[in-house]
Amino acid sequence: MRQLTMRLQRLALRHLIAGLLAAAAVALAHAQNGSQQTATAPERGRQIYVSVGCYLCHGHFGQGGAGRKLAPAPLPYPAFAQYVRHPTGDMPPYTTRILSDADLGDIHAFLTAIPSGKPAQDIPLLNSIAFPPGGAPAARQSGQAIFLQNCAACHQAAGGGVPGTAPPLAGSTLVNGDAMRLAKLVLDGGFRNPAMPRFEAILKPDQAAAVLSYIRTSWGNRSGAVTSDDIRARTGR
Amino acid sequence: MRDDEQSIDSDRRGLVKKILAGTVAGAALAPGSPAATPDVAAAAQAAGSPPARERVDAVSVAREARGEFAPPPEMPPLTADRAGADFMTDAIKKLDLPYLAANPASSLRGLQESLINYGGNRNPTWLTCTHEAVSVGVALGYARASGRPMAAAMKSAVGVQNAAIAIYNAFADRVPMVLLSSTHFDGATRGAHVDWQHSAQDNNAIVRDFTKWDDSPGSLQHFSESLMRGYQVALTPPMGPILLSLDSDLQEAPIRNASELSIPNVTQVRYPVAPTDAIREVAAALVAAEFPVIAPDRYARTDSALPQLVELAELLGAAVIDLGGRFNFPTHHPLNQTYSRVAAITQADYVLSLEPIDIWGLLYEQNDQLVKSTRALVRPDARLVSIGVDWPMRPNYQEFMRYVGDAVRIDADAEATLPLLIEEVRRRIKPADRRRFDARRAKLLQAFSARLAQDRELAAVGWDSSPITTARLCMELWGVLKDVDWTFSSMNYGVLKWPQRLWPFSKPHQSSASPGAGGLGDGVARAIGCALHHGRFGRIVVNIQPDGDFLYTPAALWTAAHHRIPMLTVVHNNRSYHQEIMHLQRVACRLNRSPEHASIGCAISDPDIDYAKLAQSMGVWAEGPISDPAQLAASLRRALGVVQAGQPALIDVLTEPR
Repeated sequence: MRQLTMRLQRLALRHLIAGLLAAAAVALAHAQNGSQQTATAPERGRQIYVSVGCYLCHGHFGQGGAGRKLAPAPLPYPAFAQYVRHPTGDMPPYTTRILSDADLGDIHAFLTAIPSGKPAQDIPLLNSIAFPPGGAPAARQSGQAIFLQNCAACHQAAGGGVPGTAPPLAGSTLVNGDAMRLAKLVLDGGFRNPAMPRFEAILKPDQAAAVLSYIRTSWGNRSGAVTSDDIRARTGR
Repeated sequence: MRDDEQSIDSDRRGLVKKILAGTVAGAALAPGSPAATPDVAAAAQAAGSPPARERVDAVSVAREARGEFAPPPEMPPLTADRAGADFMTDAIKKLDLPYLAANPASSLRGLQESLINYGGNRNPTWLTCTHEAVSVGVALGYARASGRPMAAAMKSAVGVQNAAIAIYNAFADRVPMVLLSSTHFDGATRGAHVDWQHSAQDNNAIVRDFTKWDDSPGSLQHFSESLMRGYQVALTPPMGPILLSLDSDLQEAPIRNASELSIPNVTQVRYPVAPTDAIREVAAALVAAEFPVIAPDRYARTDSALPQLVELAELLGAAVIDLGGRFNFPTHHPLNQTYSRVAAITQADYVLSLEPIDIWGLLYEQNDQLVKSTRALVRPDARLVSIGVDWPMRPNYQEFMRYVGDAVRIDADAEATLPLLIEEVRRRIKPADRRRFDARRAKLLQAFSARLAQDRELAAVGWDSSPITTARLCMELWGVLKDVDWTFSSMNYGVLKWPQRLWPFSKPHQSSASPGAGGLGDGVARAIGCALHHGRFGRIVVNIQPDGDFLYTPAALWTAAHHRIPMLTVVHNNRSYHQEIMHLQRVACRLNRSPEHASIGCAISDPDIDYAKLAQSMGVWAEGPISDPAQLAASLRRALGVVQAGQPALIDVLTEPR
């Protein structure tokens, strides 16, 4: 039994390494592709996006539909590619036999080039949708907005996660544990799932503090808030 | 011109010349009149050729004198004062059914004539439909909106076959309606050809797998008793359509035994309530639960159901997942976790399901990959209790869903049981419980607000793009409807339920939508039925109508125009059976084949259909196709004005696929 356990552990480790190598290879392909990108890459990406049917579920502009929102601000390429090749939800898999790495890179370039539109609060019809009393306190909005922009696509607005893709944050021992350990993982990466991006380059310290505080005080989580000073002390910024 | 055609033409010209010259005897008489026969013509000529009218009169007088026009002594009576259909009309009127929708049928002529002339075309009023599926769809929409059945009628065999899918939708929706069909029971009185082709020795068998009860009465008395019994069966939960096949001869033959006929009273139905011990058990568990979830599905029968459920949920601070079999819970209530379903159900330690349709679908999740995998969403230690009256009534059609073995089921009507459950819960709550519930309420408020905020932001993406996003379509609709009294007749799956996600549905009448059996083609018909009820209160009935569904029975619009039924149809026009394209894409990708041709066989384009012109051709005010989002609001406002003036209107909107 012990031998079997060790074999399984070795197998799991081998899979983990293989997965990381694959993700690295995809990232490298994208980086190379990115270096060769011309002004037409987004347009070519748009054409491929339509021809292979991405728009069927995600809409012509990545706004989402039967599938999730992809744009603006798509997932970082490694996470994006990982999911397209090995979807864990309901999305059909797009292997390299259907979609080359170069094509996938161009699709990502197209999604990246989609500009942010007006936020809901600047659209009167959407802004007129009222929250229940006490539902949108101003102090929470900042962290919530950052979460909705960067995290909710995978972890869901209610923090429930997506099976096989993103773990739930509601009730998570990691989220409710040591705040600095959580901050380090979010900012530096280090999660086993390569789909989880590194946020150090994406979030400023005050933004990181706001979103971590939001995560640690929402959906039943009752852990302490994180300050921007904590973040600066940890990152040296 | 061919030789034979020249010959026919030549003969015709010669004949005309002879007529003009007066050389063809009797040419001025109507064809087939006695004077046109050769012997009478000869007699007339022999008499010195007087004017034609005088010749006829003279002949008629002579024939009458010979007694040729007297009826033969053995001739059966040609008229009667009352036929069997009149008694049927009396019985139907006793049910106070407001409408009967039907496509006319010869075997129904006795009943149709009686309802119109003897019955005065009131209760029921005859609604002219262009297809039997439309007739039943109208009845379905009316029953969902009003809670009351109406009637639909159809010919035997072919008519019932046409109606089948709509009847199945009504059955799967547990919607009451009275269906009347007609056939020639007696082969000896059938005419040739069609009377035989359209007769069936067991007409009801065509749809017996998805009707709740049926009968083929052999006499008028039998009819009146079966009608009352059927009505009672239809309205007894689980409700459903009932069907009576009526003999054509029984409808048309004179009533011979009027003094022996009677029409029974309708039995009043009382709904079963859960036993006291079961109510106590559920109440105790709800109060003690750490995270109770209430999941109503086909729960709300009447307008009382929604406020009752709000009361129970607020007492407990419990999450509610409205599964949508009926409109059960306000969409903007902070305890509404319908669109955070997975997050809510995974936390639940106690799930109370009310009139469930698919418990498995609530508790489990299955992904649609090459190897399907299933995941339990609910905690292993969670307790599940359901209150409901439904049971698998028929074995053939598998609409009873997957079996879940670990549920405790209380066989009772949930709406009738809830007041007692509320009282028991209220009695058991202690001050310490209230503090616990307050904390839970706050947590659910956060989750609801986060979900709403996310949906607002998602709706903003692509706001100004074309094709118009489904979110923009729905919000522009909200912009013109938010200040009027509105109601939805459609589920809005195709537009991702944006109305339910973003609009505040708070009143019970604001949605009459229900899923049915998913059979396509009843969208417009349902809206008509819905508008027949809600229109009386000045409510604007809105139907976001998928184009694929629309094309099954587009002529339903004519019924709306003909009967001046005000309703707003907004065509969600993605020019495809889009869901099927996604299915083909999925299968192709699994096989490492390009999904580029997935639209073959699914696209509804080339040529594109002009739905506005289609509607206009049937007398319905219409605009479109609209592809510019900036033009949408003005068009919708014009359409609303038409509906408010009492007429149907249609807007065709080119949208994103979903």
